[in-house]
Amino acid sequence: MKMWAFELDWTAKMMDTIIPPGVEEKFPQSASETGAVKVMEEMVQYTPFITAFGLRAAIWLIEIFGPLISAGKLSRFSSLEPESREQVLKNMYQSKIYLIRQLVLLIKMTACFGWGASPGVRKALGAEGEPKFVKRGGN
Amino acid sequence: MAGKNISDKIFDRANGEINTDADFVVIGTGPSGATAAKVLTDAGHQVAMVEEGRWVKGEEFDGSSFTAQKKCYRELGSIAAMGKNMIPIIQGRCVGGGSVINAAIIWRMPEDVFERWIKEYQLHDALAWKDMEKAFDTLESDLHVVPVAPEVMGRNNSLLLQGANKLGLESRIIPRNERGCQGLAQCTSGCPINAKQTTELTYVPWSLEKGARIYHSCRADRISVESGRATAVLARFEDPLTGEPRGKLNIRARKGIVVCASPIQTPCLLWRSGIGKSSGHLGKHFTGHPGAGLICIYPDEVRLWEGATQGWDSEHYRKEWHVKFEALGMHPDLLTSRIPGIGKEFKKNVLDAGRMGNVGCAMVSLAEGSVRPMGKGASVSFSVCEQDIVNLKKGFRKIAEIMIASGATHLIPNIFGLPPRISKDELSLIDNAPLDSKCYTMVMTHMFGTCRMGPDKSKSVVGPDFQLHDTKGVFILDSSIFPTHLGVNPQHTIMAVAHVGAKKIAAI
Repeated sequence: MKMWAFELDWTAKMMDTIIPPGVEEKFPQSASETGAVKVMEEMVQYTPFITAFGLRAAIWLIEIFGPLISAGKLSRFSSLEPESREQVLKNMYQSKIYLIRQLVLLIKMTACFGWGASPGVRKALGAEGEPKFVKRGGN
Repeated sequence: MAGKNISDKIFDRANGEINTDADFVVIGTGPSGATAAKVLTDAGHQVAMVEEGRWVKGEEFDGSSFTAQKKCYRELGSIAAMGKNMIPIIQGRCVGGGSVINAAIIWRMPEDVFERWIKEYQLHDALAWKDMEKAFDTLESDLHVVPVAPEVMGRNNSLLLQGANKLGLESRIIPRNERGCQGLAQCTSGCPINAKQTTELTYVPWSLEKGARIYHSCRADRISVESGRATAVLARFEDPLTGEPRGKLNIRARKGIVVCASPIQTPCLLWRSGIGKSSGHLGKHFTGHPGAGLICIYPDEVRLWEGATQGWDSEHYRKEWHVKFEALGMHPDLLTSRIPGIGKEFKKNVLDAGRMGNVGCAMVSLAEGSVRPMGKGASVSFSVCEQDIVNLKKGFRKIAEIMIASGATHLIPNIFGLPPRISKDELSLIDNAPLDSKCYTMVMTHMFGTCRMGPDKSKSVVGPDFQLHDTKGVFILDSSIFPTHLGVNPQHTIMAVAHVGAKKIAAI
């Protein structure tokens, strides 16, 4: 199952709301700047139909109903200003309804798989290269 | 893959259709399948292994979890048990199976669990403790089981060991099947230096060197049966990631078919083949060790991405609370996914990533679920019970005390309803955490029970001879035959049971 370009665009906006550009000098990259959207694209492409459908549904539900669920606003998630997007996802992330929390968690996990694995973030966290342990000489 | 040239024994596609035969066809090359193949080959039988996943080499791993998920995890790690909440299930799908993506933790089967199998489930005709001990000895020698070396312990493991010692709890430095570990903390995303002694590096190539064959990227669709006896495996080659078809495999089994596909895929294969169903227990009694993690923050750097992925564990409360604790290292891609917050708050929290420690609390769940085939995959129905959550909370509280005793100042409980961070003076908040399982983020590993073994044909799927009660020539050697969970990491017991079972089968 392949995602459409507009779905990828929505995904990028959601991921960049969870992991925005700037904020911390140490790791200024946003999720989409590190290729995290590709993780979602490949998840949808390569997982079985039901899983792919679930991931896609999460994106659609946040895009269409996120603002309504969290703020009672009849607008699309991607059309909101960044500050409002953050508030929408924060509210959903803290929702008392399990399924609503899970929608955001799915996007967040996928975003982190891409962002946390990127060389820039790893370097900023001191996780680049190999550990400074004494090497025991392989096999 | 050292030793003799085995490339002519490895097949990953067919030009149309391969029709062949073997004494035994072994389905699955994880800990149980590879052990069975090795024992049967050593006994002089001609063995053909059929593996759904691909043969992934160490150099293909780059430390990224997602890379490993694409290459080695079933459904890219997205398979989940559905119930009151969704619990992701971690399963390997590659040559070597779970041994490629686990943390190489070795535990001999607890004797109290074995005694329960004998007394309560009457498995005395199937397993004897002396045979199990002999198998453990052989496996530990073959797979080079050694405790984590001090120089690769890493701070997370070391601190937790200190904390547990301060509290007087029984715990240990974990023995693992490894040779030359350099503490890369990448066990769960594939060892890039081939230090972990997976079955992909040991029993599979050793079997090939002695004459076995392997058909990988090849999915067993069905077992065909004639006059109540299994005769062949019908399989198809396909790219494990894209599903692109690459031909068919029909392989006749002269002596038997050994199914080692896991407690999820084994019952599904039997369902699709129309066998194993006579007792009504096929796919039932699914259970395992669902777990959740507790993160803490220390004043100084810990660097969870350095050191043995899992180098410390404790079964101190296994019998009393049905929980086990284990340190779990991880790289930033996995770690950040567990750091709370959205937007600016998330990024601020990530600033502390280098000072975080982490422990998993594995529950010996008292609940049971079921497995049924769904399309090419499986539907897994399972919910933890309230007592499981009571036990989890007790476990979390004790882990928190260990963390504080080892110097941590704050905890990140990841429990809905609790603050994202709690200080060392607020541990009682854990005691008052909700009992609703939906408030916890869990992961399921170590599964058991969907083809349980027993002498009574009306209560079990597999007999004490490891053969299906209702179909001759089909043997099950994976943990789906286990009548209970183990309470400890199961690879060693799975391999020992497969070792003992395969020896019996080889002698038939």
